[in-house]
Amino acid sequence: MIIKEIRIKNFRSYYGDNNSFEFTDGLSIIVGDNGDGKTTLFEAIQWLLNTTADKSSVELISEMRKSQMEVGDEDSVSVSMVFDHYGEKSVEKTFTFTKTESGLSLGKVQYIGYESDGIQRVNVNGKTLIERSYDTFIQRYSMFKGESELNVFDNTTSLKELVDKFSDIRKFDDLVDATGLFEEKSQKAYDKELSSDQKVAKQAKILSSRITALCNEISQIKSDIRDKVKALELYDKKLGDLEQNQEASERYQDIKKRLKNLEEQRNKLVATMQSVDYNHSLLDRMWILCGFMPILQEFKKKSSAFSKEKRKLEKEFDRERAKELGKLEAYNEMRGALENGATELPWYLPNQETMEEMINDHICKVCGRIAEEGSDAYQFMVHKLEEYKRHIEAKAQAESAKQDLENQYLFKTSFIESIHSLSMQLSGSREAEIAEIPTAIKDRQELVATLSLKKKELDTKIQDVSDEKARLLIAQNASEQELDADFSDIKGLFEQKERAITRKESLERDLKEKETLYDDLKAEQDALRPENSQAVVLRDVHKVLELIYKAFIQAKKDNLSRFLSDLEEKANEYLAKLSAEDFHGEIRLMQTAQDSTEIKLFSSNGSPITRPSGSQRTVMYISVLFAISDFTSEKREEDYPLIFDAATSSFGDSKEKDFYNIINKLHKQCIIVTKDFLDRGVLRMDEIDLLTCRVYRIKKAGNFDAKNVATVRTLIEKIK
Amino acid sequence: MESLYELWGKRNPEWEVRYQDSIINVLSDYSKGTTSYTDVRGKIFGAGYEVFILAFFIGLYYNQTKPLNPDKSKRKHFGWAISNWGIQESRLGRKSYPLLREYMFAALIARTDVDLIALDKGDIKPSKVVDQLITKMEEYANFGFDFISEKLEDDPNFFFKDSAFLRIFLNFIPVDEGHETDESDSDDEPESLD
Repeated sequence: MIIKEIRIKNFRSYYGDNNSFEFTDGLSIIVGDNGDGKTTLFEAIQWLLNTTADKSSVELISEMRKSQMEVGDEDSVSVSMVFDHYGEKSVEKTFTFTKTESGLSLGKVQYIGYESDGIQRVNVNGKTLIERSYDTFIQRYSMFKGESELNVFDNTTSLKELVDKFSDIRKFDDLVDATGLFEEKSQKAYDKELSSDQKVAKQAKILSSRITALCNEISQIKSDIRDKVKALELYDKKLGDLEQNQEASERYQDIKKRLKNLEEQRNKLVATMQSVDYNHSLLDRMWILCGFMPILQEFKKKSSAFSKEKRKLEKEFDRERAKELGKLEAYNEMRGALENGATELPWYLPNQETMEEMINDHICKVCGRIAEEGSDAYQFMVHKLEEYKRHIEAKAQAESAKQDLENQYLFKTSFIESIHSLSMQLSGSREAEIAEIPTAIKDRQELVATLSLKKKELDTKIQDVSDEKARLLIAQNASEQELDADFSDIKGLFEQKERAITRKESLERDLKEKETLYDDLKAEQDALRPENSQAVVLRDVHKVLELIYKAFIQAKKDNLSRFLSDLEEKANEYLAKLSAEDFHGEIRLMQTAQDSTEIKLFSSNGSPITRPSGSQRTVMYISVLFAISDFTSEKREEDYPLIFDAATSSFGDSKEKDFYNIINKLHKQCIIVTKDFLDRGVLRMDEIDLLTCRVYRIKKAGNFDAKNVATVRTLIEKIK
Repeated sequence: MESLYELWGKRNPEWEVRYQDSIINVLSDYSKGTTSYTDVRGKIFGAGYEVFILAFFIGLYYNQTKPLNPDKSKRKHFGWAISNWGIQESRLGRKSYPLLREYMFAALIARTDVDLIALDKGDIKPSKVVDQLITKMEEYANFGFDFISEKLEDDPNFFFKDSAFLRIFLNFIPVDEGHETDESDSDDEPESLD
């Protein structure tokens, strides 16, 4: 099948009915930049060929076309293809759309096919035509979007499908089944006959049941071995992946360690910075007193003033009191001076008793003179006695006055003293402490400022290391967990793998023993000499059928490996061609336990190339695809095109040109949509000139509004 | 005889109820009843009186008072006498600060017009003087609450910046001391020829 032309109408960015590509039976390149409509072209072809997508969708309609429609306007979306497949044929997939008041009304998807019957074009069912000419199976091996889809064997069933389609092995399946059935039936018939044979029935029965049991055991062991092999493949694959990551993993560990170190330093800094809470310190460290000095001074002044005032008042008061007391003393002293100036006897001499006795006796017993009643002397004595009595009284009075005076205080309490004492306490060292608070705060703030500078430096370093980590992760296309897990898994996986190997070996030994035993039992069974001639015949028939059965199984195996080796050989031919002068290694298609295959690249000295570059991988997969395509043409006697969307994005500039020219010489229809040969949106014409194939350029029409999708349309230009 | 300081310490200063929701509950664990860490996360202070102390110092340093609402029902106290303030802090990383009370008392003595001579003479009762001190204290704090409330209205997160309160108080550092450091800084400058 060769695609000759593709027309696209109102499909997404392909506006209007004037979009067509004509293809040769060799290579056609369609060059476009990002957003120019490359993938849309690819998807338009996919849509056309996908006979299961039968629903019309507004999303497929050109935005530009939609925006221009008036109510009542009708138009259609269609993708059509003209192709050669046992004669020229064409197919179109289309649906109509009409603008209504409420939006767009969509018509049904229709497939319209035409083929030539040698004389004229006849209308045929388009869907059937597609399914007949380009079935989904072929689509799977012919249309690829991006580099990641190129490995068709990623899917475990692919090999089987491929083998079924393209090789004769499938015929063997029926033969194997049929001969297996014969073998089984003949065995049963033979067993039945044996059991009724009088001579060997008993022995045959024992043998038969032993053989059955043994068969079960053997099949169990075989399935166990298969499991182990599967597991080993898995371990190998994982370990391979891990080893690829090992270097990265080690670097990752190193980065992680550095990061942890830096983060610890940073946390310490932050802890130191936060160890002093500014709010709490206002109270706990009494920083709130930073402005207190003037108030403290006020307080000290005031309390000292009160104290002074109080003392002054107290002193004055004391002085007054002393004065009063002095007065009293002086008064006492002033009394008792006699007329001639001589000092009187003390007032208490003679005393009251003596004087009363003298008055009573009318005689002065001091001088011995008589003192008659009414005489001067008598009067003197009476007067003296009265004075004495008065004196006693006055003395008592004076004593009490003095006592009173002495007991008088101006202040009754000492609140001022206690306040003054507080003021004393708050002076000296405590005052110095308060005076230091602003400095303490400043010091702290400076320390924090220094620390936060350091923190900033650390933050930058942490950012750098984090960036390094991110770059590593991006470069490895791995997640942190993966790299972390890799590090710890690699050891565990090795151990698991070792265990699996040991177990597999012991199972294989076991299997060998059982198989030997089986052969022995079989031989014993064969050696039975039944009396019944019918049994003898059946035994021989079974023997023959068993041999045939085994032969077919072996043939099937051989065929598969022959198919793979043919495919491998072809793929390697293409690999060599496509790689031109470059190193390319050798493709090997390795059979896996799940009956699938893995595509691997080996060096010719036998060592695997575990990390092929992106372009090596792409060339490897494309070689396999070409080989498969060759098989199609050989086995099905038909060709089909290979369509790639951006499959070569990992190629370097120098590789592109050679690669395309080689493909063009392969006589295989290939349509490649790519952004190679573009230099900032401009075609590198010098390189295009060197190409021998057809080249189209697709690009957005100018004057589009960067924000409005309805202004975008793809223009097609045929370059050569 | 109990000193004025001791008598003052037995009192419970009052504050206006309206500041409970707008300030005290916002900044402290007041009325939380528990100081378990999860509950107090995000609050700046522990006990409610801590906010009162801050408000008091703001009024003190601004030397501005604001009389409290005379309606007794609009006032409230912590039920926790001054003598107990700053004695213990159950929150992690906090320290007690009993001495701070002495400075508060000293400030009140300095700033209140009390006649201690008359007091010691026995002409007026100690309780009257303590009343005066407490009133002054309440009015300073009331001004402070008003100040904080305005700041919070402008920016509800104002005080949740690490050093917001500190910056307010640093403004009160007497300029003289600032000059001293300025002078030491300017030592390098050439001396005047005059």
